Amino acid sequence: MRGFVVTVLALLTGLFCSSVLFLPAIGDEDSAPNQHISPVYIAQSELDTGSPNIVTGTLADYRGFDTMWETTVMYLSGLTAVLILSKSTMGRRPEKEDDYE
Amino acid sequence: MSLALHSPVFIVLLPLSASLLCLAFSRIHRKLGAYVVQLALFGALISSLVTMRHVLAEGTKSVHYWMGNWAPPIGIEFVVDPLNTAVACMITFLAFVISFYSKPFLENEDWLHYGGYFTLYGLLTVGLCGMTVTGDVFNMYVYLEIMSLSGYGLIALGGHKSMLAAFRYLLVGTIGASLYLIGIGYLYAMTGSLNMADISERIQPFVNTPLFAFVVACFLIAFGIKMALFPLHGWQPDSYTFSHPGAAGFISGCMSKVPAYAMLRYFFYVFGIHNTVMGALMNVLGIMGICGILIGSVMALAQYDFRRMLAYSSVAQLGYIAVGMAMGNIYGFIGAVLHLINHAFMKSSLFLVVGGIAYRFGEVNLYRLGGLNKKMPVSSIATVLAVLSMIGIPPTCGFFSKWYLMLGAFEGQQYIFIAVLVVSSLLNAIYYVRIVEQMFVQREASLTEIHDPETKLGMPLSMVIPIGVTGLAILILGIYSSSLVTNIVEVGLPEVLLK
Amino acid sequence: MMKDPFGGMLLNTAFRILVPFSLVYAVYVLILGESSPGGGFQAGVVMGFGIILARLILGEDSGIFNIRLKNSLALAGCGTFIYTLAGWLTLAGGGKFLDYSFLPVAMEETHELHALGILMIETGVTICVMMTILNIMDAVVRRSED
Repeated sequence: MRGFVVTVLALLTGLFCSSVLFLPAIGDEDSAPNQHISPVYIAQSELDTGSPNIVTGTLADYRGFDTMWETTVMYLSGLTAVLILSKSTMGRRPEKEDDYE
Repeated sequence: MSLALHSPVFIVLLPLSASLLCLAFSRIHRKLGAYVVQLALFGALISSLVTMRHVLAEGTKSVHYWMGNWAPPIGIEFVVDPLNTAVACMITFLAFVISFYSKPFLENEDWLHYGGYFTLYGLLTVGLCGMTVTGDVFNMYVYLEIMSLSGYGLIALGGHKSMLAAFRYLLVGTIGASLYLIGIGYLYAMTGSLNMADISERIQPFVNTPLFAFVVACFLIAFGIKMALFPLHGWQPDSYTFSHPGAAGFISGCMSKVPAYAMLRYFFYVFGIHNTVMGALMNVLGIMGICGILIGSVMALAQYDFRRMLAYSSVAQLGYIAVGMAMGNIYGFIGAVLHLINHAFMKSSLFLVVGGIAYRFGEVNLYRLGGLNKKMPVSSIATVLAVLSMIGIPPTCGFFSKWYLMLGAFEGQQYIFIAVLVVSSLLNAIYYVRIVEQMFVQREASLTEIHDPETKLGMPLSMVIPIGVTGLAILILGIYSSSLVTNIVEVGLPEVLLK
Repeated sequence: MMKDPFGGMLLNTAFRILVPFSLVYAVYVLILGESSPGGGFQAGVVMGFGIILARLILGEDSGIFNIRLKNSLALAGCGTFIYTLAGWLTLAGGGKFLDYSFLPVAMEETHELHALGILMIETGVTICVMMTILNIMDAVVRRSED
């Protein structure tokens, strides 16, 4: 069983690694990502967003909507960690009171 | 600009703002945050209804909303079509109704957990709605994250073994999300775009390349994990069983349906099903669906924990949706969409009933439900409706989705699907009628009451009403099924099926 | 005694140099994020680092750097809400969601409005990230103390 699992995992890993061969080369100026909208970002960013930094312009303005949700993910992960750590009674002495309020 | 034009963004914006401020309000008064979130969920329901009216009145296929007014391939857009809004209405309606139901479970919690629960609940709704209405590939990934994270949290808050279930879901779910991200990366490498409509045009020269096959396989596994499709469902029974009882109805109802809907959108609207890779994939999906239906039903037969039985039944029902997609014709598509909506209501209703039983008696053994029809009349009636719908007896809604699936199978002459549908309906009948028999026929079981019933209906009013409403919804959805199909589903059919 | 008010040369140096430096540097990263590498996420991390360092040195009873868990949780939410607020303001100004050109502020140049919007959302992100780091540390510390 163990051997079978290892074989399947090795096969899948090989498959995934081989998929890299089909990707466009790094720095290939004819590849689709470098042809379609990236040039627009590079050309327009400073005019559109007023930010000389293309990364900031894209992150906070063109795709600012995504960044809002990323921030929410951050908040959510922190909150969930706090809720779970403070809720569980596993490994916690029962007489100890919660002092969150 | 009128507010109706902005209504797509309000579907996610209102619950998001309320959830973010929920804890700050809860600091003022323990329950204030919850009221704010509920109000926002109601607002989201209204805005999804307004959006639906707007889309249907517009007469076009879809309405686009550009975030930050950047034209689509550059910026992010929401694409709202009739199907989208129907699913969004379903999510917000269930979220609003079930938010009342959660409250009695939280009575003894401090402000942090009371507010925290509703924050997670609101954000779960936001994630689900966002996944439904977004028109951007990466944006959907972020919603997937939000949905999963709040889901992990709500499952882990259930107490008693829930931590382990949540951790298992976290491990599996992270693999799913990572595969989806890899898929996006490859899509971007092929097309250079992140907008769905843009991708659907630019992907066409690549549909027979190995990279496309990788993308499709990644998406199948990613959404398969999230929707608990058969061989990938390992996390699901434990998670549903041990999740927070207040949220279990919502989690079981919507959290597996929305990834299924996302998968449907990708396969039918973005990739198109008429190419070699997708043809092979549809076969795989069909086999997964068939195995899921059969094995889920058989496993459900073997359970004595009510919740676990329902969880395995969900695996089977998700199989129906997969089979409907795999048929690749109009009837199959309608059946899949209809079943997606119907099953959300059926399963929510049943899980709410179970939660009620757990609330009052502290146990949910399937063989100790005798005499429940006298103790909890509303729950019993809702159970009967849901069970009839699960088996597929008119006029409940479950009949109509199975009817369309049957039609689809006949049209495609895929007789194995018909055989599986018939067999699974029989299995459904066996394991669901058992519950009704226990409730109505068996002698009264000796159960100890751990919570005061408060009302004559056997539970606090805030729990009875959601159960009644979802039970009634099953009937109403069944009666108005034909108008749902002609007015909404058929308007939003993907173009690949119409050719 | 006066030479080592924080209990030793290392702690002394750390508190006197590293804490103020990281706080100031965080503000620098935040403000300059608009035109150079940096931004809200990084600023939040650096600021959170500074506060955690101060807290490790001063202990739990210190006054200024001791943000209680209940406050930091609510503040993290409010920080993210500042981001959303930018969207609400643009809607109120008559534009699409997060279209900074419609921020209801009297400024002539469109790109100045965009810069203002970016600064606003970065501030929100900074607060959220800083408070989230404090949250997690606080929860872990409490958990291990019990």
